[in-house]
Amino acid sequence: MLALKIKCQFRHENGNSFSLMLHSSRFIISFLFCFFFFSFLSLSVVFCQVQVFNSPVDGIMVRSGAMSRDAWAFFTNPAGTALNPVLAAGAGYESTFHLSDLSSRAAFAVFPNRYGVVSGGFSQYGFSSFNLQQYSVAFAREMAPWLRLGIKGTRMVRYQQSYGSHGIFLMDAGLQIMPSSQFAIGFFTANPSRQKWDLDNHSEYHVSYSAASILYEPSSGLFLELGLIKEMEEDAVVSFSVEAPVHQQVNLRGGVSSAPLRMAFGAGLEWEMIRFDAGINHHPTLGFSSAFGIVYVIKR
Amino acid sequence: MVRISVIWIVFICMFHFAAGQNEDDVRLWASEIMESLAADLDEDVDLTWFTEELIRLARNPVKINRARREDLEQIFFLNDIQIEAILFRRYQLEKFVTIFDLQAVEGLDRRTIMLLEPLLLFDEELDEDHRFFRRRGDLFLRTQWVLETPSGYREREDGTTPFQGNKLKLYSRMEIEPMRDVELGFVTEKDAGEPMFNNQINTLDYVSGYLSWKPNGIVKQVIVGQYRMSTGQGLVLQTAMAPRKSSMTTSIRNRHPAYRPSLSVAEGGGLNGGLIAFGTDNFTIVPFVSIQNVGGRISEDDGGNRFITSIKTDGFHRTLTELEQRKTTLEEIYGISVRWHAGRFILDGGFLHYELEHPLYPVDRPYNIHYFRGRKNQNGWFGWQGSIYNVYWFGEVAFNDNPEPALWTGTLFALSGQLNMAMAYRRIPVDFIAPLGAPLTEAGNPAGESGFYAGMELGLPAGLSLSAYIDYFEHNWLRFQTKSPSNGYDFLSVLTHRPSRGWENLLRYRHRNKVVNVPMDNPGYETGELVQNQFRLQTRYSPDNTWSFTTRADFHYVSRFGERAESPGFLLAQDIRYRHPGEKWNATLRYAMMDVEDYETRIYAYEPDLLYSFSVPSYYGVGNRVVAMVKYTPLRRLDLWVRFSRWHYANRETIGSGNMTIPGNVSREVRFQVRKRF
Repeated sequence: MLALKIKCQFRHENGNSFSLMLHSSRFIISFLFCFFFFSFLSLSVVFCQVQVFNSPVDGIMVRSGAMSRDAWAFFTNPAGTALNPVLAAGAGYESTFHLSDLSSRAAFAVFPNRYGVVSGGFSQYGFSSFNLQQYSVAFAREMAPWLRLGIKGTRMVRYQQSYGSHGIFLMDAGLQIMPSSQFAIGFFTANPSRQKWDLDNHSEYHVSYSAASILYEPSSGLFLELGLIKEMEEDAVVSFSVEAPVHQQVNLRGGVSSAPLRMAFGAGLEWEMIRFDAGINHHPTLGFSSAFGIVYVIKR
Repeated sequence: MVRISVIWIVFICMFHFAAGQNEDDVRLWASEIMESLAADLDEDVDLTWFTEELIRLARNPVKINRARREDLEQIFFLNDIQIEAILFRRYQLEKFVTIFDLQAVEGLDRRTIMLLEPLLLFDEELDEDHRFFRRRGDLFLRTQWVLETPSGYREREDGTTPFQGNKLKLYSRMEIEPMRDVELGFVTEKDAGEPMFNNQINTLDYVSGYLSWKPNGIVKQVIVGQYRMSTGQGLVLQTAMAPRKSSMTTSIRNRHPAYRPSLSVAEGGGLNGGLIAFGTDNFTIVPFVSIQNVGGRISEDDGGNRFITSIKTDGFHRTLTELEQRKTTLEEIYGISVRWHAGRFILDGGFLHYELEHPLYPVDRPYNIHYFRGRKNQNGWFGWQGSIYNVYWFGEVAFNDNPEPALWTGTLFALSGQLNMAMAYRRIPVDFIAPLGAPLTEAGNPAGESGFYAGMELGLPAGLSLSAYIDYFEHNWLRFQTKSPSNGYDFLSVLTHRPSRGWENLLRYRHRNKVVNVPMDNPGYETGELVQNQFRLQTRYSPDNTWSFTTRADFHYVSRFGERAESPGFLLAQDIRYRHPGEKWNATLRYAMMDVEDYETRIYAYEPDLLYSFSVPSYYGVGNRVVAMVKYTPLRRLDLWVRFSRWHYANRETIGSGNMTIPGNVSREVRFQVRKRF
């Protein structure tokens, strides 16, 4: 079976979960408090989209991303990368409303090791007069069979013709819990410390947002997800998505979200050591946006 | 001699260790119970009463095989039907031997039995502490302050500073049992901005305490100092927390103990003086008296006669004006309460006299013309409760000078083991005056309200349960901010899903419809409908006693006079809690994002707080909220807490108003607490 194992089913084992958890407790608490501590201290543009790059399986599929559970989780809830047991690298391209100036591109790599899963990546958005570059490193760990935690640090550089280049440091964090074999709950927050861009003559808050999801797997490979994403000064967006296997190597995806009503359709194809993902969504006023990506397994 | 000493020391250590372990379990239980209660509240209420009840209950578990109905009523999460079922089952079995026997009680689910476990004693010998002198108690010391400096602490241009004290809020509380049947306690408090130990306030702003003695004889209890009383359904005398509408939809009956000592720091509505309870097992008489100075705004009429325009109950004495209103009027209260166990019924009645040194004359407004005025008021009441077949009937009739009595009555009944119902009716005349009354009503001032309440709790298969109530109310006179007689209704439904022991999902919907003033220049005194729709989706996963994760989303839609508010109130919150398996330390984190632009769409949400301190702030504004708290136990019986919280708004340049205005959009607060157990 050559299908990639990047996407994993969540597990719920009663066997040694608690002992594993107890052994990890000191680490977890240190981890969580460090996150909040540093997120308060870290330095800080409001841009027109919540994420610099919307991955073909999450953002472009109008999903909240809180229950991302594959390598693309690097761009949303970092806790989801903890499920990735293989060394992999990927790249993607997003065309927002099919305007080249609003396109974004990204590349990333995921490296699982004995301590957890480390991932790093780069994404870029914009055009010559205004652009954003984002360099991120994330760490995630499956603390117990029912718990995954993740944290991400990002250095973001903004260039704007009138203001020049400025940079900030951002921290994101998330968790995913699996209370039963069929259900999973995810939550993550981006820039909870509300970092600001100190521009020449004024300052602007960088976007802060939080997301939560409930994922239900009624049968193997069929996922139903109800999600919620809230950007600080925008209306909350409720989303519903479905992912289903139509072939051993092909998954189809569909989604719908509110505020405004957006619909999305996408597919994923696994072949040998490569996985292709593509998605497209429709905005009632601004039209279509699409994205595609490829992930390559370097070493099992 | 040395050997005896060693054995004695080992014995003492073993006793203290065992007691400490039990205390830890109870603390854990108490905080969980209080969290679930507070999480259900829709407004900021003083939970001191429940806090005290919990501490007391934790120290004195109920002897299940000898408990009477009143003893079990202290366990507030048990409804009356469950209490009846427990008593009936005990009658059948003659004796409960272990907690597992409770599984056979109809209407008690697994979760309720788990919550009950630390509160019940099955083997009574274990609790028989026959020592005359014993030392058992608690000492709490707490301080808190806001890191930013509100404008009230800054010097003005004329050289004055509005707040006379510093930013620290101080609180101490101690309860001790120096010997069997004797308890004493004291409490002190100084709010932020209040002076202390100077010529304005000699000590701390609030100092109170009690001494309680419970001899086992015809005299049942003697209390000197601060105490609280609760009779009937609270129409006349309810100085405990008023019964409230909540998701415990069939728990509408007033079940507070008739009297007990208190260390509440709520500076309004308490009793200070003494009472003596005496009688037999089935008949109790409680004469009581309370004499204390209360705060109020003093004025003088043209003839030089002094009167007060309002009684101050917020307890703040920070500015010169507030200090002038401190303890300005003597309040005298006395009365008698009688309770009789008459077969399957409990009857209670009594008389209450209320008198102020200076007469109370509030500024005349159309809505307040029926409020209490003058110096004196007298009330009488008659209450009943008991079961007729499988229907539990309770109620109270209360009187004052008005010939028409006030009535509050209800019934509880089980249609099956899975379906409990509650129905209640209230009719309170518009000129019914009871300064110490606080029954379950929609409005803060019950006078002039009539209403009908129906609630149900339904157990469903697959771990589902549904509870709901509807409350229709009418106000026969104008109310504050409602310039016409009005009516409305309040509907709540909670669907709970517990698929496994540690996982709970909750979907809550509340609809409220009431009449309020149209907020504009309207010489026609127009009023209109305010409709509120609140939705909450919450999931909590606690696989064991160490970890707990709670994710919650709230939406609050308001439509005023037929027009929907521009945006709904919204809250998304994540709580993470970790407890070290050895109870050495624990940590709690909350991160919440709120978007509430309209005050009417504000959302109340329970927040993790220091032990036995509970906060349910309103989330209002656009921004986020962080709460981080750590508890550490460096020595046995010594606990330390540190709590940090921060509001960070996106749509404000200042926070608060008046003297509490904070420049900027960030407000941070730190709290410390120390607890020493004896």
